[in-house]
Amino acid sequence: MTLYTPLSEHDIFPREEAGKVVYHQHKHCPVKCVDGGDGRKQILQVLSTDPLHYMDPELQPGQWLDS
Amino acid sequence: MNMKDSPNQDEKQQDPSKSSIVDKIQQLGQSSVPQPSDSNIHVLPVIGQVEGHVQLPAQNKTTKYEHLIPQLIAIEQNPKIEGLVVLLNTVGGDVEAGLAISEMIASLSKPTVSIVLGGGHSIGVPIAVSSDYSFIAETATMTIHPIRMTGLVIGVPQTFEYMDKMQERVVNFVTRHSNIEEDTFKELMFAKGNLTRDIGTNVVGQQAVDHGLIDAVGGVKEAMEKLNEMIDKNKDHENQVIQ
Repeated sequence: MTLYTPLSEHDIFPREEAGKVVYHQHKHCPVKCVDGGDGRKQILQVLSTDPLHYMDPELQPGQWLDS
Repeated sequence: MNMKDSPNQDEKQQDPSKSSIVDKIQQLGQSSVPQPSDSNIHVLPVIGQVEGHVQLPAQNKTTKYEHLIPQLIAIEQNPKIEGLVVLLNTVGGDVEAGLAISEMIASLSKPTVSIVLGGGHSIGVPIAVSSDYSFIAETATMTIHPIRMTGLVIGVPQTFEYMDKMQERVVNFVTRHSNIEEDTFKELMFAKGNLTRDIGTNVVGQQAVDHGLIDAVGGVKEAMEKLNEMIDKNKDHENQVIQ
């Protein structure tokens, strides 16, 4: 299917909500996470102004954090 | 609760005319709906997105090709229908479905008129120009832009060629069925600085006529007058052939 429309993809196909989005601090870095429901959180996005946080393997999107 | 026990059900059973009014209010927001008289003109609305092979998510308002294509066949076959008005207020949609509908309208033997009201964007452009004569409301707009894609690409040159061919199909159809030159249409399609998040052009009312994309600025009255004139000419031609 090829759509020819000025609408954006996300207006037509809404993003699926994987879970409740929460904001969290880990190692002094603010991160946007999805709540796993079992007390753990998965990183969606790093929200830091420190470039070193983006290089930290523990803070990569998809990593699980124990609360 | 059992349906038989519901108060609404009892009311409906007691007074069918009352239930009909309630249904109209619930469905259309008004108690009386104007009924068209027996007419030789069929009105075909293309509203929302043009939906093709894939069903779009529920929040999209769509016109489905499986609803339109059989109607177009019926219009061709029904001798009581002598003309077709296509009402467009669409934001575009599936290329294949849009082109299929456009080709079917263009190949009807009966006179056809289209009116762009509000918007006739993207794949709405070929549908608008597919009729014998096209109108655009003064405030209606048409967005002309390239076909794009998102997602994973396997085989970049092949994908590019496929997309390019698909775009050419749209360009060819529009230039064959309107007075716009291919160069002008492509210039509008690839223009920069007109749209905020895209390349392309948004033409409004008279501009669409000036570019030769649409035949005239007008609304329902003009469209009906033009269609009746074309129906009369068609009848005269048929009579001459019989004589």
